Amino acid sequence: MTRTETRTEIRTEITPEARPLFILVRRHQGLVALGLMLIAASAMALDFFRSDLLGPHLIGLRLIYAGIALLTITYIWIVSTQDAERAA
Amino acid sequence: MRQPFTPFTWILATLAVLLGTALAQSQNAPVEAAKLSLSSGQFGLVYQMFSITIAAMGAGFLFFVLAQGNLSPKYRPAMVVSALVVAIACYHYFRIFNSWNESYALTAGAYVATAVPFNDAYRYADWILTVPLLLVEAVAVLALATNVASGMIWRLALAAFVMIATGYPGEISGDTTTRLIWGTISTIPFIYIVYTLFVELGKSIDRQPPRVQVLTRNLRLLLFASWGFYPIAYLLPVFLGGGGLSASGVVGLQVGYSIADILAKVGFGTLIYFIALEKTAHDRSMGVTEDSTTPPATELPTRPV
Repeated sequence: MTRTETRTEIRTEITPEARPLFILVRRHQGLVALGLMLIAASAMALDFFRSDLLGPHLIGLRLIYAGIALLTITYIWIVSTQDAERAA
Repeated sequence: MRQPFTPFTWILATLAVLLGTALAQSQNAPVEAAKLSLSSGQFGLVYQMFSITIAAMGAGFLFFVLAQGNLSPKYRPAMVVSALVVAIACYHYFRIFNSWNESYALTAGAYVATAVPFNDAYRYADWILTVPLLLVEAVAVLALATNVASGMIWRLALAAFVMIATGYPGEISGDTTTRLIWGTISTIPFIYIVYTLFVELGKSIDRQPPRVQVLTRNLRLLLFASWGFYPIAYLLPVFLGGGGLSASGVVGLQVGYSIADILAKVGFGTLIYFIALEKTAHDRSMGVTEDSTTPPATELPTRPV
């Protein structure tokens, strides 16, 4: 078997659904949600106590929020479309 | 077919956020408080509106946390998002409320601006996080387990980031032309979002159980009403200010945004909850397993034969 063939084989075997991170998120949805809430709460605590660290126009807070939004969207994407391929 | 979403797209979105803020800063944002004097009624209206909004968001958070136990596990993430959205909004309205109180002081029967400027940046910081999540939760509940939903989630989120980032420079500008230019730029992703959601919700109506169909129609109407309110509120300072900042314009803007936020966050989340509740009952009657995200046969998209 050539090297190229081996690579192709590995790529087709690991589907997005089988990725360890995806499995972990699906199995512990509640914990992940709690984690996201804690991260959001930490960002708000940072703003409340040390808003001077966040720069003009709250640019720092916005970037943190954009990151939290991406994490939460990824979470929703994983748990809500988990077996889309199987259903389609 | 799922559309590829490259890291480049996200770099673009981050740059849009940074650019929006940098441009806003370079304009030397006018300190609106320094120019304005409000009547007791005007100050009190905004004060009461912020109080009501804080109460509505707080109540919404409790409701979404406590009510998610009524839903099937597959719909609970949407309620988690709802709870997160209103909790964050509640905190920001608390900050906005405090800033409003610090910005004006009662002097000789009128509320005159103090040296502390009113901080509107919290509103836009809030939207950066909450608006993409609101869009995603609607897609998650209504268009579950479709490839369309998967791509749509990311496209809507990206459009929301660009919309908010480009709206901010106009929002804090005292110049009408600047406000209109940035407002127009921001309207492009705004129209894309409203159109996409409206069309996709319309398409999903036929696939829903009968009782959910009614709720989905209501959701479309609420979406149109609440999202349509934002550009109107954005333009109120232009209409009421006569080319510059005015007390009526500032009051109209704050009241308008508060009403729109209550509708778009608490109202929207509540409707999403009722849709999820109906779908939970429907899934149970159809014998769908609680933790499956595959919709029952009645909800699967019709495919050409």
